[in-house]
Amino acid sequence: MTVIRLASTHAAITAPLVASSTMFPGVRIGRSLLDGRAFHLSPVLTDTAILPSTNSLALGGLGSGKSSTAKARIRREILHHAHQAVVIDSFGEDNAGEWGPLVRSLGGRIVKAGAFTLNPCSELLPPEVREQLIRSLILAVEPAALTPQSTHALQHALNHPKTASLNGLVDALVRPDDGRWPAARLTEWGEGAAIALSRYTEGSLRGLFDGHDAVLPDTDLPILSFDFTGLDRNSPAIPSLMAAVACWAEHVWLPQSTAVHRHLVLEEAWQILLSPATAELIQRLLKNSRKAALSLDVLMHTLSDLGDGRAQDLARLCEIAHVGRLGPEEAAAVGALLGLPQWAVDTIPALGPGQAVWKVGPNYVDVVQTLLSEDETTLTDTSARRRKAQQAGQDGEGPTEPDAAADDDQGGDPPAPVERDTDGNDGDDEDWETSPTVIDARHRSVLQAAAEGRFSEAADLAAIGERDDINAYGIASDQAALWLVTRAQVAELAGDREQATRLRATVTSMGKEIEWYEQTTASTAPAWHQAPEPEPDPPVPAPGDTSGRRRRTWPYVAIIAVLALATAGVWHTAGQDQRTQAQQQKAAAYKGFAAADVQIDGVTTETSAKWSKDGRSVIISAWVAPEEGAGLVRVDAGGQVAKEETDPDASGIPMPIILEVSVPVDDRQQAVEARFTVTGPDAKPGSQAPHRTVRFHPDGTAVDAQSGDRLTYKKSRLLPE
Amino acid sequence: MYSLTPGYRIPALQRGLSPVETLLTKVNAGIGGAVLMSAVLTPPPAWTFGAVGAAAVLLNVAPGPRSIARWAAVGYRRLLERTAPTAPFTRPGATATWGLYPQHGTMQDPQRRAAFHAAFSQALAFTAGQARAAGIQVHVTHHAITGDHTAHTQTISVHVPKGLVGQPARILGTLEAEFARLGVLTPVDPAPVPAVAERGPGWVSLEDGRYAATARVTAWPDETDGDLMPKLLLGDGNAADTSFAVLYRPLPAAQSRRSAKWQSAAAEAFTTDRVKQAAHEIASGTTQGALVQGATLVDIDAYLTVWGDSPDAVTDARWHASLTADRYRLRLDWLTGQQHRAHVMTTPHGASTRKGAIL
Repeated sequence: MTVIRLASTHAAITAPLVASSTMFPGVRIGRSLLDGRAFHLSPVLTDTAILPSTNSLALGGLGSGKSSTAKARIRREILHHAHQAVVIDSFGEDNAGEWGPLVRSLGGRIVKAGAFTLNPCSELLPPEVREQLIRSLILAVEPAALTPQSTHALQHALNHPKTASLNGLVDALVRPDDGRWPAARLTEWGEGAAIALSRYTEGSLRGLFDGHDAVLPDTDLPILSFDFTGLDRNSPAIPSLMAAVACWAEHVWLPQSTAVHRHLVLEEAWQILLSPATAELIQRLLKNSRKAALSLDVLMHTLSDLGDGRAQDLARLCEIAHVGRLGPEEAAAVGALLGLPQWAVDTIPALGPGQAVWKVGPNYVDVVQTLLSEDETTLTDTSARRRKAQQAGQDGEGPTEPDAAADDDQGGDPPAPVERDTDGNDGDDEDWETSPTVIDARHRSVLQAAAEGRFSEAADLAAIGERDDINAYGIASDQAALWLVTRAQVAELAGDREQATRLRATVTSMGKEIEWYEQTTASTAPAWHQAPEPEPDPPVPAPGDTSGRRRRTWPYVAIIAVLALATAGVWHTAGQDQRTQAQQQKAAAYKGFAAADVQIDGVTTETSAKWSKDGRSVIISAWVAPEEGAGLVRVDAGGQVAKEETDPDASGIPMPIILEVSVPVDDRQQAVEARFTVTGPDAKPGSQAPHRTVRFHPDGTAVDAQSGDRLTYKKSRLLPE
Repeated sequence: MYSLTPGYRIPALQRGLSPVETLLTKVNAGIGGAVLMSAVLTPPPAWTFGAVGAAAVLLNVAPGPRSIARWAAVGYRRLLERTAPTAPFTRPGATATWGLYPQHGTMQDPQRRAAFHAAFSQALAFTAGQARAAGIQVHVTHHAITGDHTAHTQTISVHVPKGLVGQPARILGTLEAEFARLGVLTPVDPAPVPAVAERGPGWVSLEDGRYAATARVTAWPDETDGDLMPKLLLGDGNAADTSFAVLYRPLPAAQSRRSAKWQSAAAEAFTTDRVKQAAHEIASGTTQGALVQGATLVDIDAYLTVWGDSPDAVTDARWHASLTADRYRLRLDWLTGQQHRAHVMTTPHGASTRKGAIL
């Protein structure tokens, strides 16, 4: 066959139709990992039939690159399409929002929470906005305080002329004028609201909303960042501030801004969405987004923080979702919620930094690697400090740490991952911060956990890390030893000195010199955990390495010697073989009987030699038929003689002459000679009787001893039966 | 492994005689016959035998490995191969080319991929059924330009040879509708093939400055999950621009049944290895099942071109393509002496080539 002929069902898989042509308009995001094509997306430029809403949801563990992607997207939208963005930035290092560099580079403004005060009763705000805002503020601190009565009291107080600031409003609530209802009842009704608002005027949230004049941010800035990083994660101020921002966005920013499209970015949105008061605001914004030419870009770690109902709402309202690396269980949950196909869910746990599964609209699913330019890389670098530590530390350890942190998050301890970055100033952390380059991130997290008293968690983390390193480097590697050292340290922190001593003894017995306490105190020492020197590299023979060559010669010598021995052996055995073969041939030819017909003096004599079974003797026989008329027949062999003479005149039945002589022999292979003397019927008596000597060989041949001719016999009566 | 027997190339046997060759055979027979007959009537003069003998010596004397006649034949062939005639690629008939892109994610989702392949198989069977005799050809190309991103160009072409059917345009229209079910189908007008500027060892350079090296796929892997093509063409190992094309020649139902019958009969008759026999049995059982289900037999002929912007780059790309092919159990034949026209096979212009145009 010179053609490849297949059934069409089988031939179809050879069709090189592998890539699609689906494209979205807009800014470039990156490169599809499915087929290598460029991935572009500006939701607002996309056909409404494909994307009814333009809100997006970004999920992913720490270090998955979700916020870098979001920043790059916003930057490109602002630069290429003159969009506007407002960012609620609640995540960053060194008490500075991580969007800071980007906002500054775009000529935007950062509004730092705690560094400004807002007057919710300002004349700058329209009356309905004022009321809405104050209601949100009350809801943020006391969700139960708003009853129909208290709402009326509030409404009444807001109309009071003294109400120019929050303090004035509280006064007006506490000492109301008579209105439709008497002042006493209004006082009673307004009590709850006044108590709630007093948190802002006298309580813990003082300084945020009790200013006297409101300076509202410009609405025509390309980007505006509300920086909440100065606040505590669980601060009650966050819902209040969010309420204020949402109100401002909805009532001031959106109506006034002239940009073609606006983005509201919620970084680490779970803390905003978890609070019922703010969640409602956000949900309203989401629902109105299309009308208001607004896209909400929600960034969060995972949806599981939100609980089922709200997460589903959010997933439904966000038509665009990109999911960075998550653990397998979370990936499955997110996949179910977003309706991702199984192959996409399977890729989520294995995604690298900057890679994400994108879902655009109901059907389009892609795996995209975000591509950042040089500028963008520097502007969006959120983990500069960690990267520095990792660079000085070891490569390839990066991905594991965020995972560990992600698991923390899962375990109902949301602030944990950030605590490490933002408030890493407690006493314990100090040690680790002073020598960040020395300690592997995983060891660090283990020790930190132990230092904070979470010993079981530390033990678990250490066990995981140790297992990974043993798998990666081997049981006797430096890495494995390091984990023993770390475990010893943990045991010491837990007060188990015996265990610590045992572990250290194990390290010593492994022949490792590294000692944890020495190394950590001497911070000048070279980063010992850099030891992961990629393990025993296969030794590359240097060019001209003679020792290697010398080592190479002995196999050749050995091979030659072996070959020589083998040849000699073969030779030898061949000689032996030949000899034994000859013997065997002889033995095979041994018949133990030979016969010959000889003509002597005109008389045919049948002669034979028969070797005995034991090979010790040979019987030589001669047989002469009676009609031959032989006179004398004599056999001489081996000194033995047998002889018979016939009387020619004798009458009676003529009998044949049979003579037998037994001759002893040494070897059964030996030939035997015999002389046969016969006289014919016409022989003259007295004359010399003629004779012939025959040599019998045990292989059945008989030779005339004088002439050397081979003698034959036709048939022999002497043949053994 | 579905393979062409490597190193077993007898062009004349494989493709039959061309019309010119047939004519020459007949003329030769006629003249020879006439000469013999006349020799019977009138014995020729004695020197004729000397002349014939001299001619025979000339034909059979061999300076080096070949006879003089063979030297002449090879020399003529080399001369012929210097030129790149357009005739093989412009056979008369109706040809149409479309760009074809499946829906996004089809190749990644096992179920959707299987469905796509089933639809493509049906399209091939449908194509085969459009004419009584074999001859309609479907040519699918994929061209990837790599760089920061990869740009994919995919085409599907149909060629209906002249004289096969009365209204080829009707078949083209029918098949367009059939292929439109596979994905996004848009008519395209393929760019003309750039002329060959230079020939090197194992590559050619084209007018537009690109260097090409083309191989024929002579063996396909036995078993795949259907993801051979996505892995091969979308794998991250493709550093160089690559073109891949498959030419499908579907056989009409009756012919494919006959072919399957003979194939299995030959396999039974001439295979003595029991294991091989059993393997054949399974394969022909599968084929039989597919035919019963409405599939048809298809002759496939696939080519791979790697591109570079310098001789070194294209040689390097060729090496990497060999490695990749090994990994995916494809066997490549780098078409020595055919490079100057083989690259056309990976463009839509290869749609009309007859079997054995490139060997």
